[in-house]
Amino acid sequence: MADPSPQPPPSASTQSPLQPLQQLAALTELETPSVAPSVSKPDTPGPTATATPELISAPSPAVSYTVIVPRFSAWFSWDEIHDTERRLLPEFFDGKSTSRNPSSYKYLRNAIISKFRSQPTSKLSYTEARRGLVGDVGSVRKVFDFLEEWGLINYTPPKKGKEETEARGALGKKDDSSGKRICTSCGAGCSLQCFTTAKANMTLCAKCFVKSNYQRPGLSSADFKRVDLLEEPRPDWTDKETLHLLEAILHYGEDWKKVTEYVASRPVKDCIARFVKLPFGEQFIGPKEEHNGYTEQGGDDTDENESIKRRRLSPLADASNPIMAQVAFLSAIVGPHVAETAAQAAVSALSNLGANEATDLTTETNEEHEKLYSTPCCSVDGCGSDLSNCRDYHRRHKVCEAHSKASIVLVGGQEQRFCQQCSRFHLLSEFDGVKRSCRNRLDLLNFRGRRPQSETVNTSLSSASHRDSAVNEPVLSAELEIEEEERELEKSFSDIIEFQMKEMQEKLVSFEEMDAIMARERLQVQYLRDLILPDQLAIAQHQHRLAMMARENVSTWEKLRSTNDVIDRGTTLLL
Amino acid sequence: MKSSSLAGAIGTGSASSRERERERASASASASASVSSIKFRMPTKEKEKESLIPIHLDLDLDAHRYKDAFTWNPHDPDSLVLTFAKRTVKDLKLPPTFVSHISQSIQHQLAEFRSFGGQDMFIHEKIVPLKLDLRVNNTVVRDTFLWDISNFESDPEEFAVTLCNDLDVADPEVAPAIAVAIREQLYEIATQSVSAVKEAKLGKKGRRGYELSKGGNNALDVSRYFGSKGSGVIRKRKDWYMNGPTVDVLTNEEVGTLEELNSRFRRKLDEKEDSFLQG
Repeated sequence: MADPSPQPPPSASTQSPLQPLQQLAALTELETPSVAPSVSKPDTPGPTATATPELISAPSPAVSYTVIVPRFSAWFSWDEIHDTERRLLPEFFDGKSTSRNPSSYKYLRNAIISKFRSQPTSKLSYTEARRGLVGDVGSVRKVFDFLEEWGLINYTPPKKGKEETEARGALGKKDDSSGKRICTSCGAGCSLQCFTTAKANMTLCAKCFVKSNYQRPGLSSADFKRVDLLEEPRPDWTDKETLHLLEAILHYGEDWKKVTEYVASRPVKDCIARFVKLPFGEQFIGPKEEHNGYTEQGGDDTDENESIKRRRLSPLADASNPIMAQVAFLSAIVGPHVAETAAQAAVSALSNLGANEATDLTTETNEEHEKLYSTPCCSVDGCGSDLSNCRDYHRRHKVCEAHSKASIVLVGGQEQRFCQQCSRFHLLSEFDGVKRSCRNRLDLLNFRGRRPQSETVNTSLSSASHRDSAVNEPVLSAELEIEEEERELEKSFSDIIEFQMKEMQEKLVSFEEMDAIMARERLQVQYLRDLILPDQLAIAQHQHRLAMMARENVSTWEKLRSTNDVIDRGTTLLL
Repeated sequence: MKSSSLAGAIGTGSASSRERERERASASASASASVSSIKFRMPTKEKEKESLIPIHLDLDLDAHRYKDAFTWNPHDPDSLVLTFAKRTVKDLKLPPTFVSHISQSIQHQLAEFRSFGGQDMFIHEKIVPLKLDLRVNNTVVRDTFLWDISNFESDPEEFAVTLCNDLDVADPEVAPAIAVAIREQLYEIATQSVSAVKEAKLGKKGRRGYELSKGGNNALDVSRYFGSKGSGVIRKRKDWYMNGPTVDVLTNEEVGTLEELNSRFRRKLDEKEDSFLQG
């Protein structure tokens, strides 16, 4: 692999490593592809050459590319180790360590660079590099950092003029981060949706994803994210288009097809989306007589109005009560008219609710409604003081502050006192001493300790909500208690069931264990039996043999005896 | 075990008898001092202070699985651990909780290695069978071979690179995996020999114990491996098929099914463990 030594390397190498960074500006020569042959590394003899012969990597397409290396790294040569490298990575060359030596350095360096050059458009990450390299990760890291700093890998030249765009166009054919997406496995353009995985930098079209045609087997379908391409970012709506849109909506109302035709440049979805996003869309249509100027001013006014809104919003939003803040926010968003009608409707609904609960009080609630809204004044004879400045309590019960605390007042010609518990006037005889609450009420309080409820049903002067809540209270609390008891019952039922299930499960488990133990014992018994078997056989054989021997003995004995007999007879004959 | 095998092998080569004599001689000399005991290190070619150790990571958090194995130089500054963890998490786009887990795991393994430092271990002429059984992306490598522990010039990296080149393994990630696997086994052996020293020093087993533990599980009677009758270098024919390397390249589907089986198996093991603990 001959190095054509294009630039004057000796002069470049004598520069100190700090200078090259300043010389980045002087890189204009390098970027022009026409000068490429002089700059590019020995492996690309010309700008139209395909992948280098020494890189056997198939994945790089037959797109020509040139490898661009900054001038300060022009000393790099495939076969040799340069002084710069020796200086900056001394631990590889000082012989102190056996694992870090020149040959391992060279192996690592060349491997990293060739790995990067097999896919020059994508940035080589450290983890990817070290995965394919034999060696300890510390050394790999040092070499990797060195190469990256010196632009020998992951280097993209800075943008400069049209020469740059030519070079980038050549380099960036397979850029999959912007623009059209191309499936990395089948190469088809992805139109509808594609699936990307960050782990391996892959983009698959829907077909390949379904086929599970992943390049690397370490991936699974969970690693992929779906990207819908129909939502490609569009350029912003100009004022003119917004104006057209609004006019069209005025004319055509909700007929989006016609609106789209009128606007002409946007599809239906975009129109609708834009319209919905406009802050004062509804207000444009509604009170258009008042705000004629808005449609013409368009964008500016919307901003202005938003800021006004925000200013109005702030005092209310400062309320420490979060609910109030929310209500303020909502009302500001919705608009004053809507907020008002909503509030009125809410109030009436609340009062109606109260009316439905206590039917015998409906007439009274109506009365009290009127009273609530009428101008309040004290009910004491001769005192018509206006209660508008007093507290709510006083207004409700039609008594001015002074008379609420007075010991004797004249109401309806009778001497009465205002009872603070019942919130009404009682005859003076109902009171003990100078107490401010009537006797009955005090008794009830002292002996029962609860707010007496029976009285409130009969009194007729308090406000609707006050009485309603008193009536509703027992009912509500009773209902709540019932619900609670039901819930507890359910809970205890489920607990019981759970316990029983657990019991059964444990029994099953113990039975299974027993089964296992039994099986094991059975096996053991069989094993023992097998062991005993040969012994038994041996014994049986023995016995058989013994039996045979015994029979033999018997037969020989018989023979002996018979011969004996014969001999005897013979001798007797002789004798 | 040794004596029985010796008795069984009729006509053993001279090597075994020599070994037998040597063992007896060293055993009779004394329990510890005369045997070459050296400081703990990886029995590979690096200088003593710089043994490279294998690091194994297997983390499973938030449905992200990270499995990795690589070689680490324990003499790199510890700050490198954190930098490495951050870099890895960034490159693989893992959730940032992984950084602390990765660095903790690496430091734990480093500390374990360092705790062995300075202790003695016995390294004899031991020839140890090493096994390879790993799957890297699509390639499956299975191999058994003998490794000389006492050869401190050995280099697992070189072995791995040569193996891959000779077997024409296309995937470059296989070689580092092989190197790490070899290193792991060597590390195991080294730590075992340290514990053997400890046992011997405890003196409970005495000389007999020393002999036995020295014999160990790993060292094998070399003569048993090879054919008798003098040609002490060639294996017995019937063992040929067992000891060669096999390299298989799987398709993606096979890999997928393998992973599924593995995960199912792992899940079953976990379930069994759980039920054990409960019952």
